[in-house]
Amino acid sequence: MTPSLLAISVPVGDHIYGKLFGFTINIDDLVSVGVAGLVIVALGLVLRAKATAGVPGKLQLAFETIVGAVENQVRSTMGERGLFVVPLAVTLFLFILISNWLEMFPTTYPGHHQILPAPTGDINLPAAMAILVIVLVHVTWIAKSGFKSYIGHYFKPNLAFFPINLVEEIAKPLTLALRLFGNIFAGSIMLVLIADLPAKLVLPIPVLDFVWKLFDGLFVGPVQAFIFSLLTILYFDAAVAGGH
Amino acid sequence: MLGNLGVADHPAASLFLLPNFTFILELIAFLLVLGFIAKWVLPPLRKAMAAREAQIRGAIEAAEDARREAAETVARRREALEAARAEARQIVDQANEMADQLREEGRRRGQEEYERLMAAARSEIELERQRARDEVMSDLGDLVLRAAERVIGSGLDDSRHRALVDEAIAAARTSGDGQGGEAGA
Repeated sequence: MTPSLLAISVPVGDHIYGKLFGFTINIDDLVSVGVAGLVIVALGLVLRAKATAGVPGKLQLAFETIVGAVENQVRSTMGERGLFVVPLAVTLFLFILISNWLEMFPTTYPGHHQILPAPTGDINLPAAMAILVIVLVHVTWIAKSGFKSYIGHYFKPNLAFFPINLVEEIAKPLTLALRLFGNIFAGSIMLVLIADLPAKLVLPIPVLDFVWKLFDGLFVGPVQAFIFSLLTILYFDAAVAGGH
Repeated sequence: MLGNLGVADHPAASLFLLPNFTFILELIAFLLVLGFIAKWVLPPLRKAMAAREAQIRGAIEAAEDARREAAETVARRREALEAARAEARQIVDQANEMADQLREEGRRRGQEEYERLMAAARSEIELERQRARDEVMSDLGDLVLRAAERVIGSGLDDSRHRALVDEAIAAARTSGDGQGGEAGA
């Protein structure tokens, strides 16, 4: 198999497209986002119904672990004044994690598109979350420290650093979105590559596929969700501190 | 509204790094989930966590109270034990003292009884000795008269010589008393 042939067999940016109000939409990604959202809502409703102050069930324990870890991270960086970030960070973690795990389900049929691709493997969802986070960070900065302080931080420690600070602020949403997108997208490409491997292999293709999905689901997915949430908290930390 | 389902050869496929209108819809979906989590999931979860934390804190405080109470009980028991030991020592000391007093009293009484018995015995012995001496002296007169009769070979006037013998015996008794008194002393 030559590299050129391999490149041809890998579909990049391949989606089921549709039109809504004249705009192009990725129907498969929207279905995946809807499924991820419904899973979280369903888990949330079950948790709400069964939440107890006594011995927690497995679901409650998992939620408490996530919320506790996020709250501890927020307290260690911002203290009690940063607790307003917890719902956003928890939702980001859960949403990204569930979205990443959708890639593990075998929903691809030969000759057809993947029915439930990981929506984080498409640029739209990471970009939406990253831009939402960065907008909220800037709004928080202005609300906490005032517009003058917000503008002033672009010129610290002196005027010469304005271009660097500007590039840094622009790079934040880009890196936040592209990091998540790139990692999950690479995982989906790996699955396609494994599926296209020749039959004469030491390990059968389904085994390779399973091993990769296990690695992707157990390590890459949670790690990327954690990184996105952690960076969100750190960006808010700078906003709450007002650049001091 | 929704139409023209496309596939991989759609023009947008070549711009996979640029968001399309999906961005807006996914942002709305995320905001809905964020609102749900913030309003419906986290409050009851935090309430349950806070209640459990309070329960655990209460249990820890109760355990701490129990531990403190147990320590106080041990201290009280130790104090009571020390007091009991001190009291026992005091009682033993008093008992020893009383035993010494009783022993001394018994020894004193024994000594007095011994001296009283010894004095009574001496007195009785003296009386008996006196009585024996009197008997011996009264018999001695008869023996002397009989011996004298045999020596001189004739009878003696019993009434006349009896007075002499009695007089001699009285003199001898007086002399014997003097010797007995010296011997008794």
